[in-house]
Amino acid sequence: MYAYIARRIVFGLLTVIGVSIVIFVVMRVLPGDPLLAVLGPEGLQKLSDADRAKYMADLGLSDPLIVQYLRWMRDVASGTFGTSFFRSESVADMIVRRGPLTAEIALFSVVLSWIVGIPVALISVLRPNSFGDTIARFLSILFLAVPGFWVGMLIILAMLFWFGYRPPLTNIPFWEDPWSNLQIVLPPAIVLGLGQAAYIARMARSSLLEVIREDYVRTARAKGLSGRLVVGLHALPNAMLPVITLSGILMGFVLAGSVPVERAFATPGLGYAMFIAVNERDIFVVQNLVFLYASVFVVLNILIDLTTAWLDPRIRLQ
Amino acid sequence: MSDATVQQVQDEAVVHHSLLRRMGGGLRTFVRRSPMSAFWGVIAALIIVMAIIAPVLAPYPPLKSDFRAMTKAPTERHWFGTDQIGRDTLSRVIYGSRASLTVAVSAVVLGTTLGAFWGLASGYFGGRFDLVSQRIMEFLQSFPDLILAMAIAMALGAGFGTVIVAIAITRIPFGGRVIRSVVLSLKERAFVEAARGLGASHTRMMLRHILPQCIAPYLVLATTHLGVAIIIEASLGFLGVGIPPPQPTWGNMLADSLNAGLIPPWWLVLFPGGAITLTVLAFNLLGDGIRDALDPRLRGTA
Amino acid sequence: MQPPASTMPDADDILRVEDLKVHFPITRGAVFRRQAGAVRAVDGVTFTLARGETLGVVGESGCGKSTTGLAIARMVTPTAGRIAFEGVDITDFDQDHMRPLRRRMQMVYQDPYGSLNPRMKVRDIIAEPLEVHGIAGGRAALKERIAASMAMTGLAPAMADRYPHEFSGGQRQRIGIARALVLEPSLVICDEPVSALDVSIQAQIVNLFVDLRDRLGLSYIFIAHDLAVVRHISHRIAVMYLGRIVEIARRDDLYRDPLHPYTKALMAAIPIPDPELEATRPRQIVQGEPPSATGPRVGCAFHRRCPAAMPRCAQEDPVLMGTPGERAVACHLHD
Repeated sequence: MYAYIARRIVFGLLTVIGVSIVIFVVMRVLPGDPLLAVLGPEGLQKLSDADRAKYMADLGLSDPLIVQYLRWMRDVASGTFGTSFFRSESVADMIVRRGPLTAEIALFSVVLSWIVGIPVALISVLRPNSFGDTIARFLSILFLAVPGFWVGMLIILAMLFWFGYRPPLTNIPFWEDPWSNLQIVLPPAIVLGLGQAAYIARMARSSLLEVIREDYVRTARAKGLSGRLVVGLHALPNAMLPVITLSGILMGFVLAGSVPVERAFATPGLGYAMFIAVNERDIFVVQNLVFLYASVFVVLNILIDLTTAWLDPRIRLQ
Repeated sequence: MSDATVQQVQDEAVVHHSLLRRMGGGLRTFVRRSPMSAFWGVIAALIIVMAIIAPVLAPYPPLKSDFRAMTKAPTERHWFGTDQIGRDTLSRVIYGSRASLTVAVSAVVLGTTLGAFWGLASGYFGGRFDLVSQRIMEFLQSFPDLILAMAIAMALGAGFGTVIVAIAITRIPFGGRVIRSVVLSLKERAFVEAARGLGASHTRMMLRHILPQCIAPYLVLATTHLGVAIIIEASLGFLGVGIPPPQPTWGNMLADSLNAGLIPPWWLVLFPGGAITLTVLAFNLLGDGIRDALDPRLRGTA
Repeated sequence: MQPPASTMPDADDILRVEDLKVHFPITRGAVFRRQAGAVRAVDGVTFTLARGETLGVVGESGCGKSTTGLAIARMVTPTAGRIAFEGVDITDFDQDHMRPLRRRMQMVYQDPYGSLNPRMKVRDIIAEPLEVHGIAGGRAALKERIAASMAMTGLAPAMADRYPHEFSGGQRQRIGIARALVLEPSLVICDEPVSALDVSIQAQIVNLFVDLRDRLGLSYIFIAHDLAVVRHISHRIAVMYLGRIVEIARRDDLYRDPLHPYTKALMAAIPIPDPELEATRPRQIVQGEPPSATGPRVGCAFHRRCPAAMPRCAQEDPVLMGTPGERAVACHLHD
């Protein structure tokens, strides 16, 4: 088990470094002028050679790539992440200010996806081909196809239409005003949660069906346990491992989805900051936020792997 | 069932669904076995036809402004209403299918194919090359796909080609990993070993014995990723890093609706989004059907 | 390019194997892989095979008999030792160097289901060796050659357009044999070619092998896991145990008078086709499992399971001694 943990952590670190190299390559080495990203095509055409050199030097873009990369890594390690082109705010400040909102959305959405997804799967498994099963399967197929940000826009329209209501647009931390905070956080969390729930329900259903066919579950049934108890006691715990793993993979879905969904709701979180940075071509902010998102994704998946390993006696007792 | 019988059943499945047969009598079997998938296949085909003959179907040119009707709800003249500069939403939705489908299909074909060949080589040759390839794929897969696509699209500058490249890159690891695992299991099969015993060259073993068996998983992979690619394309458009306006795409139409007033008019939200959902639904369900038909062992998996 | 050839004496032998070893490394370590040991699948095998001769190789699973066959066909890389085929040292040959030799040395595999590509017709399966070696000739010649090969192995040439799954296990194995023989090889390595078949079919296939050998003057290495199968076909038999030959003898000598206790045990496991005799025959059952192929070799590998073990057997590893080509045994009882 310890060897497994050590290996997972070392590979995780390697992956984070690899990820930083990939994003650095995308930002600096791909055939695209970094100043094109900053100034846009019109601005670039007006630029004189001298101005250009000055800009490049000011931004530290004229140094050798390896120096730029190491400087960036130093900024990351020191926790400042560098500063935005257009704002005085450092990326670290931005993360501290906006991050909690996005983290809340992600957390609520995962909780919601389990609260919705698992019961739906249980209905499908306990009453196969019933009306409930059919509806559940149809909804899970539908929610795999609906873009979350569009659902978000529809929710806003519906709330305005029926209740004349619009969630607050300012960043209110939970501890200051929990009710207003929840009004900001819950709608995007619901949208992202339902999208995930579709995947969770699908996976939990097939995982449960597979486990139910195993001999030890048949034995439990043969002993005379009711179908419900068999599923609850024997099948569910074992069927959950792949669902937990899927939940980790779906973090990618949440992190990625949070950007357009936050834009749809105008939620002042990190996803919205990413949207703005991409449109302002603020490459330092984009570079750092992309790195942050990928690192969070990697770390969460390591934690999930370790959790499932711990839950699985075959790995835990190794 | 003994191993030998299982093997035989699988072999039969493989042969029954060999490409040639599927094109003829297979289509009828497909319709009979899964009428739902066939129905959605027809919808998908209709959407593709719509994209091709868009100029014939669209009642107005997609960029033409009707200054007498700006931000108008659906009427008899404009079934899906108009946007803030009087462009016909129905026409724009019809034309939007072109961008969406072209980008999604090109990106998936490009990315999955590249990944598939990479996975083929990586699985076949193994060793250090495989190790390094695996790590690179893992790095690429460590990005939430839309996030990576956004960064690439921004770095390359918005445009038709860059959106395709951005989405394609996010598809590479999926193609690579699936095909690699197929190749690894094929390498264990005795007939590949037997070909080596005959003196067959690497090229021959790959092209004659391994590649043909990768076609079914490749097709399944490609169709299931079409839906994802369509959603990423729409999201990029919505976030302002997709195909730039004025060319209509479903994503940038939705983004545009946010500029049409404090409250976006419902018809500018409903129709482009509905088009995305319907298209993704059609391709996903068609993909499920193809997967079930080509590879019964994958049935029921997500 | 001409392969580097070192000829060994006695060109009459089609195959010479000297002290062949095949070790598979075991790696450990979470991040930095290091070699932690090796599985000694084949650990010092020496024998020769004369032209037209059949050597039966028997032993329980894991004894290294299949690996020996694969190493001779250069499908796995030997760790040490020498292999000379038709006077050419092929120990260090790679696939390109082996290609011309593969025309003369073919394999028949154990698994008649897995060893035929399910997507290829029988015609293409049998034609493949000819294509690989560029000796297909014209379309008509090719067709004729495939038909001849099929007919020789007892398959109706009319079935050439079918797929492997349309055949039974025994017929599939005939396809495998036809594929091996279409190149007119001189040596065929048969890796447990009947183990996966029904007992009723095994005899047919063994008879086919005998018949083909006599007609085409083939040499066989015929690998099997029990002595009953190889009896009919072999001229000589080698008994393998834990990576080594423990006894090698002419067939009749071996069956009349097995020397090694392990050979005796294998012999006792052959059922007698008479129910009354079968019911009363003395049973000598080998207890337990063979020792691990990774640990150090101390004493005779068989001593823990041997009914005749002596104190010496636990300390001293017996070497294979006797007349080469006639009879040799590795056992302290016969030093």
